[in-house]
This record gives sequence, C-alpha cells and structure tokens, in this order.
Amino acid sequence: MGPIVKDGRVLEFTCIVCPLGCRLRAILEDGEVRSVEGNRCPRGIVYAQNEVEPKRILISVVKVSGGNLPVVSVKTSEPMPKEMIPEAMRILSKVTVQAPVKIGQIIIKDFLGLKINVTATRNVDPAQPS
Amino acid sequence: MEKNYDLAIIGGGPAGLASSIKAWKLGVKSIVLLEESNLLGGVLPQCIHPGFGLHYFREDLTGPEFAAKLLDRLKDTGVNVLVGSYAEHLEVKSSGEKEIFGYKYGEAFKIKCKAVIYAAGCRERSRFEVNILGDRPVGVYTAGEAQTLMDMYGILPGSEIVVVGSGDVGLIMARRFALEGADVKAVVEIMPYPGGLTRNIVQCLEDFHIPLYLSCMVTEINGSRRVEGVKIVRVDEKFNPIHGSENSLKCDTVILAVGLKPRVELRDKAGALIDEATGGPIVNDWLETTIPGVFAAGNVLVINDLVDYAAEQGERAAESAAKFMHDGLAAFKFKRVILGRNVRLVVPHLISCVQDVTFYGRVGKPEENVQVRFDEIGQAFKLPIARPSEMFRFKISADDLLKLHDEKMVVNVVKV
Repeated sequence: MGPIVKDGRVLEFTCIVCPLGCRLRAILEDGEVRSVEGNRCPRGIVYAQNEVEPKRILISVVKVSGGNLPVVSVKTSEPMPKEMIPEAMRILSKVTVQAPVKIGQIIIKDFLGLKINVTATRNVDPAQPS
Repeated sequence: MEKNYDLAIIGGGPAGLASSIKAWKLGVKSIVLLEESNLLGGVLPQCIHPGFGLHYFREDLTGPEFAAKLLDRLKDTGVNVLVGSYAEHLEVKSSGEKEIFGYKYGEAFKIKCKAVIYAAGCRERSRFEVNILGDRPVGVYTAGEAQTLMDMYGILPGSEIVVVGSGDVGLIMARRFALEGADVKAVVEIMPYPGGLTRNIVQCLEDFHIPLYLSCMVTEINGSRRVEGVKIVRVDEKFNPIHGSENSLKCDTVILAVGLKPRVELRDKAGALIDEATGGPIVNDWLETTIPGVFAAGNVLVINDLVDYAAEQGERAAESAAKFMHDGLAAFKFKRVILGRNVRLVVPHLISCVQDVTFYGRVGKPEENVQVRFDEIGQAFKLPIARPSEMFRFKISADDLLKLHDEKMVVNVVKV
C-alpha cells in the first residue's frame, strides 16, 4: 500500500533511494515532516520530506492521426503530484495529435496548470501511401 | 546477394548500435549492421518508461529517447544498415574468414567478413518453460508482446490482468495496465521475495494497490476461447506445491514475465561454447567467444539489468574487433574465473590479466552486508545489499590482475 496515514500525523512508506529499501516512519506536524524513523542514511530524510506529497513522472501514449504508428509515447517534463495521475490519464486519453510528431515536441503545454509540459518521446513519421 | 565487409554486427539493439558507432570511430570503415526487424533499437522503442541512460548518457531517458540518441550518432557514420535482414547461419573457414548466411525479405544473402559482433539480444521465456499447463485460449501474452501492443500500437490487450513474475519487466507492465485503466488482479511470484527493484515495487505495485503473491505459482490457465481464469497454488521452500492451497483467480488476460534467455541459436551452429549459468557464450576479457574473431555483447552475452551495460559491452566488443582486425589478438594464456560462494554468474569467464576488466555478475540468493571478494588478487568490494535481480559490476585494473599467479581466480560473496 502507498503511504498510510495513522492518527492523521504519521506516514509510513518504503524508501526507494537505494536498494536497501528502508521502511520509514515520518512524523508530521502541520503538514511538515517533524522527524523520520527507520532510515539508515540521511538521504532517507530527504526522501520522506518529498514523499509527503509524492510526485511521479507520468508516461503514457496519445493517439496520432495520419502517422506510421497509431500512437506516440509521451512523458511529463517533470514529476507531477501522484494524486493527479488519474485525472491526467483521462485528459491524455482524449488527445489526438497530427503526424509528423518529433521527439521532444510539446503535446500539451502547462499540463493541468502545473507549469509542466507533456512531450513526445519518439518520432512518428507520416503514414506512407500504400 | 553476396558482399564483403570487414566487420558484421548482428543485431540492431543497444549493444549492436553502440558497437557499430564505436567501431566506425575506431577506424573500421567497412561495417554492416544486420537487423531482423524493420526497426532499429531492439527492445528500446517499446520501453516508454524512464530510467534508461543514467550511466551511458548521464541523463534519465525513456527507451525510445535512448534509441533516438544512438540512432543520431549512427547517422554520422558510414555503417551499412540492413533492416529486415535475418542472419541464420555463421560459418568459419579454416582461413579464419567468416560467412553469414541469411535472408532479407525472403531473398537469401551471404556476407563474408573478418570479424563478427554478435548482439542478437534475448527472447522471453514462454509459459511452457515454467510449466503453466491448462488450456490455450486467447489472452496469454509475454510482457514484451503486451508492451508492443500497448505502447507501439495503442491496443490494450485485456481488462482483468494476472501478471506472472515480479521481475522489473512484470512490475513495469503491471503499472502500465493499471495506468491505462485495466484491473491488475495480482502479480504472482514463485520466490519468497520480489524479483524487481524496490523502486519498482513501490512505484509500480504500491502506488496502484496491486497485490503481490509471493511463494505462489500459476499452475494452469483456464478458458475455452478467451482466458477465464488461472489456478494459483502456494509453494514450499523447495518450490513444491502445498496441498490444499489451490485457489482460482478470475481474469481475462495472463501476462508472462518469467525471465529472458540469450538468443544463441546462430552461434550454437558455429560451435561456440555456451555457459550454462548465463545461457550465453563463454567469453574472454576481449568479449571474444571461443571462436576467434567472433565477439558477443549485450543480452546475448548475459541478461543485463541496465541498457547502459549492454551499450558498454557493445563498445568493448567493438574495440576488441578493431584490434583483432588491425594487430590481431595475441594467443594469451587465459586464466579461468570460478564461481565461488553465493555467486550465480560472472562474465567474462576467462581473463588475460594484461588489461583492465569490467566484471558483471549476479548473486544466487539475497544477502545483506556482504563483500564480493577476489581473494587471489586481494580485491574486495562492499555490497550493502546483494540481490539476484541486481547485477554487480566492478572494474579491476590490469595492475591488480597481474598479481594473479594461480591458473584461476575465484569470486566469492562473503558476509562481513
């Protein structure tokens, strides 16, 4: 399970900075990390602070019209809040771009008002006439 | 078609691309790259998740982005690229000349060359290699097949998914299915610990509340036309099914992520010796197989965790091939690398002790706070956590290897 909130002020999760996978307990006060237990190195504290509002790079595909492939792979230019991912996927499922698509091309600017872009991660050339 | 080249590279994935580019840079000007599919990049174009290239390009890239960077570099070379070209057979003449026989879109070709880099990658294991019996309905895919359908062609293969195998491939596919709205019922793992990186357990399973069944195996797939479900049983520590623990799980799709095997078919015919531990050819520290002038790199040599390692091996093989053609590789008296305590595999298998060597290996079982020890030369490397799923990689200098006076060097993983 993801972070489990206990008593409204303790978060528990697995640190993924290195393969050790420490089981962390972060004690919160006013939404901020007050202290961290279970970490075997200082990087665990930084990880815990970030995991209070976890962020992830989102990857998916969006439809392409007139291309030699029917979809193009995309990613968010920066990690985005994890809880917004379902909403993000709903939006991406409705997007269609026109071929050609160039790698690095911005597909959606200022995605969900987060000041990050959704960019193409491959080239899709126009379909060859058959 | 019959053509002559100095160097033939078989396989247009990361190892083959990296070796083509490197060989060209080293002054080999007559190179052919043979790729059986119509697309270069190997498995990279379908791996749309990030995490590639942190070592090789010092950037976090997705698979297609990694491939595009290599292809950009390839464009600046004069390497002859033949796609749709399947190399079927390799023969070595008594003169040392190599002949590759194959097909390009149904037309036979023969390529004569002085050296070969074999970079044909690996294949996915099938349900029958892990004893999953039962029916043969629609809806059973390897992870790679499902990935191609979803991420190249935008087709979701099913809606209720069971993933067999918790290696990184299985975990990443479980997340892809969950992201695209499918219900991932479970990831089933026969071992008592997950196969993949902790990062992937957290970001692929925990983020999406996907259950992981450890010490469990899928014994049967059921369904008359489409998959209707699987039978799952718990296993004991010897992987024997525990009587009375059988359970059924309803699903319409089974994804097999049950390991990879080097594709050594072509090389087998040429007679190179194969290592049972890696499934790939036995190589010396030039990454040369037991056939002089035939080199191996990438997942055909050893299943790598990171594409960066495959590319690195590709470059190494290119350096060796260039040297082989230019000055020849002297007849060194090679010393053997021996697998010791808790070491499942190591490449290279043979060392000349005249040059720096990068060793790649895996442990047999998970352990904490261990050292990888090369006692004969007094070298030891700390490993805070050792897991079979995480390759270790150490570079040892020629100066240190020169201290080896025995005929062999044992690699041990030892508790400290």
